Amino acid sequence: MAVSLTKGGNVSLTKEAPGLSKIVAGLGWDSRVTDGSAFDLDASVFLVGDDGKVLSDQHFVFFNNAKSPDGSVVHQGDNRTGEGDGDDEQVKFDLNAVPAEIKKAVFAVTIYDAETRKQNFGMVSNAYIRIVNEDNSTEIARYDLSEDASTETAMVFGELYRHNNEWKFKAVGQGFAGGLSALAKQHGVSV
Amino acid sequence: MELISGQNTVLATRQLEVQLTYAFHPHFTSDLDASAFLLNGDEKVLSDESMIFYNQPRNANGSVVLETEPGQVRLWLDLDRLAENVSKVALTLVIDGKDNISGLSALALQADGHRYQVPLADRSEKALIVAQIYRHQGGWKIRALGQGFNGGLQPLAQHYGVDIAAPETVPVPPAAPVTTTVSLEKKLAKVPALVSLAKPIRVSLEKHRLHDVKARVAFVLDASGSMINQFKSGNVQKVLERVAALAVQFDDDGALELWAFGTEFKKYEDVTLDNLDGYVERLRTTGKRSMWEIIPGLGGTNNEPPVMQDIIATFSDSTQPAFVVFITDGGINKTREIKNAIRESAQLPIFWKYMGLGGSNYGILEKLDNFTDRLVDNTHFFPVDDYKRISDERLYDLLLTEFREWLDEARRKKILRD
Repeated sequence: MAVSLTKGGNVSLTKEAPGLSKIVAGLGWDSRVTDGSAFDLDASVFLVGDDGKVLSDQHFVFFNNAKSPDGSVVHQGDNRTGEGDGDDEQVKFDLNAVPAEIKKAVFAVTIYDAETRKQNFGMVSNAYIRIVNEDNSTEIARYDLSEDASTETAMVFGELYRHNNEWKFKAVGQGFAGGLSALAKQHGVSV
Repeated sequence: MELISGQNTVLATRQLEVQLTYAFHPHFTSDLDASAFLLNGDEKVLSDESMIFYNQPRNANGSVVLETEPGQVRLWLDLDRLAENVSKVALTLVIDGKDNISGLSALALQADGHRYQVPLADRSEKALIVAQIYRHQGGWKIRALGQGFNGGLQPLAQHYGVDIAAPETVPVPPAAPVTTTVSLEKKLAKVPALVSLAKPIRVSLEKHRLHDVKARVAFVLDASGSMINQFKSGNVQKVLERVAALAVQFDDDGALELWAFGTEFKKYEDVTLDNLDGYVERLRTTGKRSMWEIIPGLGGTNNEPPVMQDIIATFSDSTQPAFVVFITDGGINKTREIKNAIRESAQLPIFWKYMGLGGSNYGILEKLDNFTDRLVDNTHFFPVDDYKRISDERLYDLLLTEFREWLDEARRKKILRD
């Protein structure tokens, strides 16, 4: 059952799907039909500790750093145009393999080179980010970027966090100015 | 709200007027055409009726109407009456010619209190999707887009699933097959200055469903003293040329019958492509003219009823419909006699197209809609305040308005036999 999340909504993942162990964060969008630079959206994840900062630079999983040190989070590759049906970029999580020091995984979506290309999510067709239960391919949460983040160029979609012995997902839907490097800096990555 | 490209917002109103205003840089010489596409959930058109443009400015139930004027486009949407299967309406602009949108100095959209100024510098598109109006969660929203295609209409139409068989060079919007096209251009080629009128005539004929019509055409010219500026500026000659081009289309002999009137009236030699050049000048200079006359022998006041009676007598037995273009600059006060003439001629195959030229006080002409005690509505009036600011396209559109409706009604009432 898919929950379409509005900002601030929480979903208890294990309540939604008991026994959830593998999830996929999926980013999808339609490739550009009109003339102009391609829309290149990027999914990234910040694996942070109590202080909200990444445990190390290698705990920033994105197109140039596909795997977290412990191997629990893996980026499946950069899609630079949105070509292809379904998710265009995916980051896979093995929830059981995530070490205890990692308190939160912060998901972000950014538009590559947005300022030079003068692009925002509203110009992209059918851009979304979602969380899917990999074991049975059901969608747990989804955010419509084209519709609800139309003037943004970067956005924190949500956070996966531990609470007692459960994994919860909190929708954030917070736009962010300054692109991926600003976002990374804010999460303690040395840029 | 001031919208930026990509931004969307909820629409508060269901009776929506979207206004596009634009201006050109001096070097811009191309045509600019606006269209609206009615789209399904996959952003494809639903039928041939889904493209709203100058050849088809309304959809079937009139919930979408496109009005164009120089410098401005208005799209009216009755969102409550739009068919269920229309998920989105795209408002687009296409440039037909060598320019692209960087040739526009300004392009702004206004709708429901919101405004979107389209960024234009350093761009190369010839077709632009300006904005989309779309269904969302039970309501309607508008999205400012400002994205397009360098290739112009062809890729734009293809994107929406419209099949256009375009010629190699310049993409042309779809038009119903017209057998008269080539022949009109060829006929007008006799007077090179008129050849550029063939396209606007053709487009207007299609829009008003008149391309198969044959009719006699008459030109009635108000030559009262107040018309002097319209004569001196050359406006009268220019309007005559445009109506003469229409006569080439409608009349088998390509001839235009001409009357002029002041206090008196007179019928002059028919206007053809052979004598069109300098025709108005000859009207003014043939014979001795007194100080307050524009045309010799006619006097300086405007006296419509006698010339109208003469026209009625001329065409009462006509086997073809008569399309009478009546130029006036107003000051009309012989209301009762004019109404009588109109009422009397309603039983005859005569359609009166009154064109106000730079005038005022058009009197009964502005109240023709309330003049209902006649057999059919055999008249239409439109004023043109400044002839220099009206495009040929717009002029033909106004000239041909309601002619089709009168032809159909006249046939139904057996005024015209076919």
